[in-house]
Amino acid sequence: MIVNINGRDLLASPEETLLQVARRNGIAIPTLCEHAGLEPWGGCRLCVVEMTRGTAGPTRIVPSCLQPAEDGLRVETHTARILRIRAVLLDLLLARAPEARRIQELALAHGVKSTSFVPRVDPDKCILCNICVRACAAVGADALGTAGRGAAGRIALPFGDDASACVGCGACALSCPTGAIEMTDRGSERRIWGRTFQRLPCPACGAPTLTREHAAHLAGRSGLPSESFGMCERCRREQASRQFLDLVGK
Amino acid sequence: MTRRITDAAHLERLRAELQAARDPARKAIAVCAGTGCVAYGSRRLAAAFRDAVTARKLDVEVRATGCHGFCERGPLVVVFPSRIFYQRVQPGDVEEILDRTVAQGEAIDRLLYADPTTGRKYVHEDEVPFYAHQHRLILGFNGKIDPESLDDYIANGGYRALARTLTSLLPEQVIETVTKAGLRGRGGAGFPTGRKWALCRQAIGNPKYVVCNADEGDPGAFMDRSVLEGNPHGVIEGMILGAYAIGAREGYVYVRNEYPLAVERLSLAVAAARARGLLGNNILGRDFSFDIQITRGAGAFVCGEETALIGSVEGNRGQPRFRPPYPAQSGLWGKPTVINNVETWANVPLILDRGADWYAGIGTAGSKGTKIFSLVGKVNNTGLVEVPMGATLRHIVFEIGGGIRDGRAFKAVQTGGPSGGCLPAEKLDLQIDFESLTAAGSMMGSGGMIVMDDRTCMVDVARYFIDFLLEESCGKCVPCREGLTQLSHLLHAITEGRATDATLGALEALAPVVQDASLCALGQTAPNPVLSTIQYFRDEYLAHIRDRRCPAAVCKSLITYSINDQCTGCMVCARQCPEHAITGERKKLHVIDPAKCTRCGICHSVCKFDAVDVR
Amino acid sequence: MAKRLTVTPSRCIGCRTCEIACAFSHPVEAPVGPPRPGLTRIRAFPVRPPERGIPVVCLQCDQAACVKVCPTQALQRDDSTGAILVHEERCLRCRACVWACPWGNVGFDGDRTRVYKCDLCGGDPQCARYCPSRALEQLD
Repeated sequence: MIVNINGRDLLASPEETLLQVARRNGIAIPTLCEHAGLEPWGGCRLCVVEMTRGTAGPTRIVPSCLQPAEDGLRVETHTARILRIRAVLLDLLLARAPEARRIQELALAHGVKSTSFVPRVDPDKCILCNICVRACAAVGADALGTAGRGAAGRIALPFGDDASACVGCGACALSCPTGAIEMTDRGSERRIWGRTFQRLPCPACGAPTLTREHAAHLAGRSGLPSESFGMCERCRREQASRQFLDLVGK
Repeated sequence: MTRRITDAAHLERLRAELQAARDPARKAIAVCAGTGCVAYGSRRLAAAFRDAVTARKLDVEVRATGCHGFCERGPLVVVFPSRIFYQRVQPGDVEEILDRTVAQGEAIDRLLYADPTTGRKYVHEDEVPFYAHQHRLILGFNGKIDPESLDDYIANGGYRALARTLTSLLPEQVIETVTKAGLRGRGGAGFPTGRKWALCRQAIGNPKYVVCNADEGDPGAFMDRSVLEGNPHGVIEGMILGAYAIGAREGYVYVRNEYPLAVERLSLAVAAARARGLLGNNILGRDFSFDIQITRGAGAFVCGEETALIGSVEGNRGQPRFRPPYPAQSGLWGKPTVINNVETWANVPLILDRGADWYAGIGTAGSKGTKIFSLVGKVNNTGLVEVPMGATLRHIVFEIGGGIRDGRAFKAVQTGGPSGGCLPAEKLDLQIDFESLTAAGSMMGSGGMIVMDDRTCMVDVARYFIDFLLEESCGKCVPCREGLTQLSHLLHAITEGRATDATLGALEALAPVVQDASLCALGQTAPNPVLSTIQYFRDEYLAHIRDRRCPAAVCKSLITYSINDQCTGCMVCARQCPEHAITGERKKLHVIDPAKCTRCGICHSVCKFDAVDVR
Repeated sequence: MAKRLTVTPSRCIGCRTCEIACAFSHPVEAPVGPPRPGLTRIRAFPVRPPERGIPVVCLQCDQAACVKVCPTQALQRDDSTGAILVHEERCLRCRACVWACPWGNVGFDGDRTRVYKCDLCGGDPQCARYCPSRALEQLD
């Protein structure tokens, strides 16, 4: 099928979203809550585009990360109206998370140096993009969710403090676009979500590796015993070299 | 004794028996048992009637019915067969009613409805202007039947549409009929119902579901509540017909938890229908099975949005998702689902019973049938109003609503709940239908209609609705969550006298972005009250901003209470003031200390001499 | 069919030129100045005496554990080169792949928060190109 984006006729397949078609053809559309490894969320709205069906249809504003490609669609990704929307959204996000570097950068790129709105009181860096929640679900721990409604929403563990499902893998902290999740590793201790995990020592070199819970989690998902996980990759390589040496002979 | 109704013929025989056993000349007393009248004590009133009737060994039926709609005047009582209509009835009136009205057909003057402007009294229910100017198709059952009696519903024609449909119509023909009738969704969006059903029937997926959206969340709206409380079988029958049309075996009613009476009446009705075989396997002996489950909401306005509702039924967080796919293609658990509003479902049996042409003859070219509005606010007659589409705002507010109370001036009417806009006096002759309201800057919504007078501050109204929607926003998308937060800041600045012209400019710049970029209709329509009040009442905004003045004397930061020379020195206000802000000796002019005054308004309401000014 | 990077440990002299070639062909941005050599994907472990080495590098396994364990299919084979590549935009940084590889051939760069592994240099593996003793070769 053919989708026309910014005046260019582009080939698209029915499983693709407008964002995928655009990116595949070098058209850059900004996103915040989008992550290629996760299901689209459609919450940041930065990716909105103008979409018209046929020649006489009404023009709608839709999130390109979710809107499926359809034959004959005409799409504009950077009209004045769209750019205005993106600038205001980033202005709003700056008021919510003024310290978040990614927001500052994106806002500046859209002509917004500082927020024109009332800043949030005691702000953190979280923009409720939900990447951490989706990532945690993908990893299989499913320990995170959004608690509370609307502007009072916050990413939280069940009941606010039940970290029993968290395995301390840190995928949430590492995927967070604004660095809003605190994870500190000190020695063999890892602190995240108000819980202290112990990282296992590598049986060969003693360096801290992954948490016991993460090892058990990986064991459960792979069917391998949890002892398979715990040797650091450097020592595993060295072990491999000795195994190959035995194979080859001296 | 409940015996299963085996087929359509059996149902008709039963109907004939029930009708024959009902003597239209039999004396009966119908006491309204809708939530409003129950709050006024109508249950005790009904019990008082029953006790008195028993004590006197009278052959008089005492029937508790659903909401009659004239909630301003409850508890309401209608005496049959004369249909004399009484309002504000108390248990103390019971004996006199039995003596004079029931025994002798005599009307008791003090209990009759009197027009507030002319003072003229009306005796019979259908003469009362509030009812006379309505076209009560859906609400028509409410005053007649006991909502806890399936027999009442059947005796009044209930389930006849179902019997006829199951025996002589194919599912596609049901869809054709509903399409031809022109029924449009009554939940707010006004999507053509027949088209939705056709899309769902064609969709690939099994099983399919029908859902009734009974999450009625608009402040001031209680149409769906009254339909569920007063005629639950009307909704059930509609859902069975819809399920037959699309090929569904299961249905859900998602009703807000704050409607315990509706939940109770609906549960009883579902159980009764099941016991009689109108729900369950092989309904009326046909190869069609369907049953209904009732799920309750948990206190979130956003769950009235269909995709959030679906999420909630599935046990997930109630927040919307993008469409497409539409629920008709992929809804509950990813299966094709028809979701319709309570009032939409209630229209369906009437259409199948009396025909598409009959239905299409009511209303306007684009909007067919009737619509129930909840008329509230500064009118004399508040309550539920059912009129054909195309009736004017003037007709509803003045002829049915009885005009503005206390003789004050009409200022605006807000339609469509928090999603709608405020329309000024120049729009009173607007003929109400989906398109005309949207063109004027408001919308039909679910049918809320809030009337405002010169003592309503339009900026305060905008602030109220934005704060409501901010509280109810699910928080998923940035324009709604953060945009409403900032719209609220801006409106509070205006109502609290901290604004400049730039504040108004910021409002007008932010609002369209919230409209354009929000994920669902909550955010997309949230700016409507703000934008419509700026459009029609800009002067009021400017007064707040430039003069630090609230013309309607509502915004607490901008008003002062003072005592004028009508003061007799009675000291009542000084005693009532919670802040001890009023000083004065007996029979001497009293003074309010503005530093202590919190503008609570108590002095103004207790003063019998109009001596307290609010400016 | 894609050429395969073939390791013949008996020829390895433990010079570790392969590691340098790998690092230089995967430069990373520096906070100031030009890009720097990155982390090496290949390791040659010295065995002494005699002066030998054992190279350990990703074997681009047919039934790769790293591919299997990734929750977002961020590790995918490039059919033209046969290499299993890290699709960074799909990666959650959960490091299941790092723990899954039996020979430790998937690494995690904490500074750049990135998973990294041998990508066969897009089809022209530099380690093989610079190996002086043909311990690493690209063969059919």
